[in-house]
Amino acid sequence: MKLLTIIKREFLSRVRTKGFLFFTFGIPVIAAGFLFLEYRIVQASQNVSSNLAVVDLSQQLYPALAQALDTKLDNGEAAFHVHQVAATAATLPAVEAQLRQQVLAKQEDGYLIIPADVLTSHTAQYHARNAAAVAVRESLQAHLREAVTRARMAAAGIPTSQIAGIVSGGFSLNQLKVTKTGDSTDNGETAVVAMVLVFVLYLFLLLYGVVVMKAVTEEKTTRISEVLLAAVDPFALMLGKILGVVATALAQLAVWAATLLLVGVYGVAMARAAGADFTQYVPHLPAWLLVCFVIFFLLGFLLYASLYAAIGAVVSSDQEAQQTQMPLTMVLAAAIYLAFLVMASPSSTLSVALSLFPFFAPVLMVVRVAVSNPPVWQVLLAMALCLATFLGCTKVTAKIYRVGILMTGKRPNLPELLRWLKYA
Amino acid sequence: MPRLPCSLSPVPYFLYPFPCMAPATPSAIACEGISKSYGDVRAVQELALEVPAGAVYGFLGPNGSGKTTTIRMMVNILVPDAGRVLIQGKPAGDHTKDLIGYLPEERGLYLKMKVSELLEFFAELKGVRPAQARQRAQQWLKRMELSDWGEKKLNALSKGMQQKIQFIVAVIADPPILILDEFSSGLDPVNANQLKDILLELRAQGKTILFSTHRMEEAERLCDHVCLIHHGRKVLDGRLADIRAAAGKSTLRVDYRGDRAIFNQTPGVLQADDFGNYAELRLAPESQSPAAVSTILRFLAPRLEITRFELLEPSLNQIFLDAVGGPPAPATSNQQLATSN
Repeated sequence: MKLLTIIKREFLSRVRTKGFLFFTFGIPVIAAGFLFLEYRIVQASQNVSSNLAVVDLSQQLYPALAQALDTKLDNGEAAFHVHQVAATAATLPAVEAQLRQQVLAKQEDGYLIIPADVLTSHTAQYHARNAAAVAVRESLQAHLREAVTRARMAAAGIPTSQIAGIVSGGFSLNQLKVTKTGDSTDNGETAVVAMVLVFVLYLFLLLYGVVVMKAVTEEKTTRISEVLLAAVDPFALMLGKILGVVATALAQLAVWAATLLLVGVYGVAMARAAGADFTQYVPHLPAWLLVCFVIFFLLGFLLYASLYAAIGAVVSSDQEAQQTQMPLTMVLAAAIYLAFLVMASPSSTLSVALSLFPFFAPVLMVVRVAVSNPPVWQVLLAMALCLATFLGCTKVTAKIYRVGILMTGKRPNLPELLRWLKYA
Repeated sequence: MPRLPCSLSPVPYFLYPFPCMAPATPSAIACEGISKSYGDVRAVQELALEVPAGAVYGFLGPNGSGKTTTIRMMVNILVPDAGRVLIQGKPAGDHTKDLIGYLPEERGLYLKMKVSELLEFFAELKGVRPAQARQRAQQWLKRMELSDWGEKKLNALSKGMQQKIQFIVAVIADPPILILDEFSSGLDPVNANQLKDILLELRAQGKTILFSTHRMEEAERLCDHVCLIHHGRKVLDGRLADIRAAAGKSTLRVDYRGDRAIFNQTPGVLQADDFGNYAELRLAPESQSPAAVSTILRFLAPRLEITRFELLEPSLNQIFLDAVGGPPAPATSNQQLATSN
């Protein structure tokens, strides 16, 4: 009951600040705004038909190219309006000069010169007023390449009836992850996703660790702690503060995740409507990995939050806090660094030992679950160790806090800290 | 609510040397030989005291004498190195915290919270249900004439208003015991008077009130029991009336005009505290009879212009100084006592 009261206050007093509201709702809105704007700009540039003059010195590629370029834009208009301009090697300079004038006069958007030896020279020239219009160039290049390939095949004596089948038959490599329950499709994205998840945890710890620390020092500087400690036991107070701040962080994370999910789903849906299927890029996450990630995220967050709280309990000013939190930041950085090691050999004895160590487990065990198949007991053991360490840290922090608030002044050294633990 | 029988008991509570002989109602607070050291500093040494239920108990001593450390052990912020604290007969712990309202010497509030929310928070922290907490917060704000400020943030309040809020925090959960550490420090006379009235009201409701102060005259006005401590040790305790009666009428107050040097030459006077317009003469034990006093007055009358004289019980301050060994008390505490007098 008292614990809930403390959690409620910590949560509400943070959630109601303008800064929190701005970060939580403002940033997704701003990010989504930028995305939308960029999307509209790209779309606007893509939805413009190009007037294209083609000079075909080879005298054989134009029909195939014109056919290939007969595509539609999203808005249903033809992507290219192509017309041929007759020229020979002798008249080319004069024709080109004239085309140049037309482009500058905006009668044409660009012109393409296909050399006579196009089947062997590998290059053609595209002159455009707006050379940076990537979408147009990419589309042009792909269609031109296809036309050249077809022409080369025809030149090599392959029957026209077979060419279409050869050109359109694509190829891709599927990678499978070997597991006990059977092989499952995994193109390495689980490892990438695991790293992304781990970085999210890392960023959130850095961001919110300081908040936890400040939450603890807050009452020391304002001297509210005596009244609080006279009302509740220090453990409940510490636990309440940590849980309150973590709840704040999770609320923020939930808003962000929901936004991201919405944007993602919307994006994939939009892409599908436009004809491109992106569903293959949506990472396939096993449920077990998700469960592990969520649990370890919470445990890791709580564990590190309790460590930041301990720092807050020891120091008496913000400047001191900055210095004292260095070791903690380094432990976190070490966990991230070791993640690459564990990813390389997830089942080695060292990896197993490191992934059971409570301060590394939230990162390393998740990585192991993502890239290999650690025994369930190891995962559960790591969770239990994390939870126990979190509670232990909170208990010790509570003791330090109880004595520490009554002795402001210089930061205690280690022997003094140990004596404080004895006092309380 | 009637006052609890213990404080009405004709026999002073300190005459019961063993708990088994004490009346059935347990003391509100009992310290049994508690000690506390910080490293080499011995803040409290084997302190034993009992606060009877329903008493207004003055916990007195100069700054640095161990008052705050003792109080922190009573509210279970600190744990004694030796001995134990009983609250209503139960060992002090987390479950006794709801029995005590505590106003610490060093004040602090969440300055960014709204006043009413802050009060509700502290009430709920002491186990009051949310709906009731809201109601009590409004009542107390009204009582303190701060109703208009309930929806303001604390940093918009003046220092004096914040002091009052801090006081409400201590009493809002309606605990049977109130512990106020230097509660009047920093209060202007109007507010101090208002809080004093509230304290008397709470006492009439049967609450036990312990307050610490280094200002002896404040304790003399409010307390029925006192405990004097010095250097972490108890100097004396008991009912204020008993203590003063035991000390006897040993002080002669003389309002005068003239040369003060004469006081030190007066036979039968041990010591003279001169305050300019009047002097307090401490009489030797053999000079406290009416006849001896009239001899002294007859000695002074031709040498000074005396406008008024009175035979007094010694002030609590004087009793304290006598108990700790007279004027040569430590410089700091002596100064404190002098300025507060």
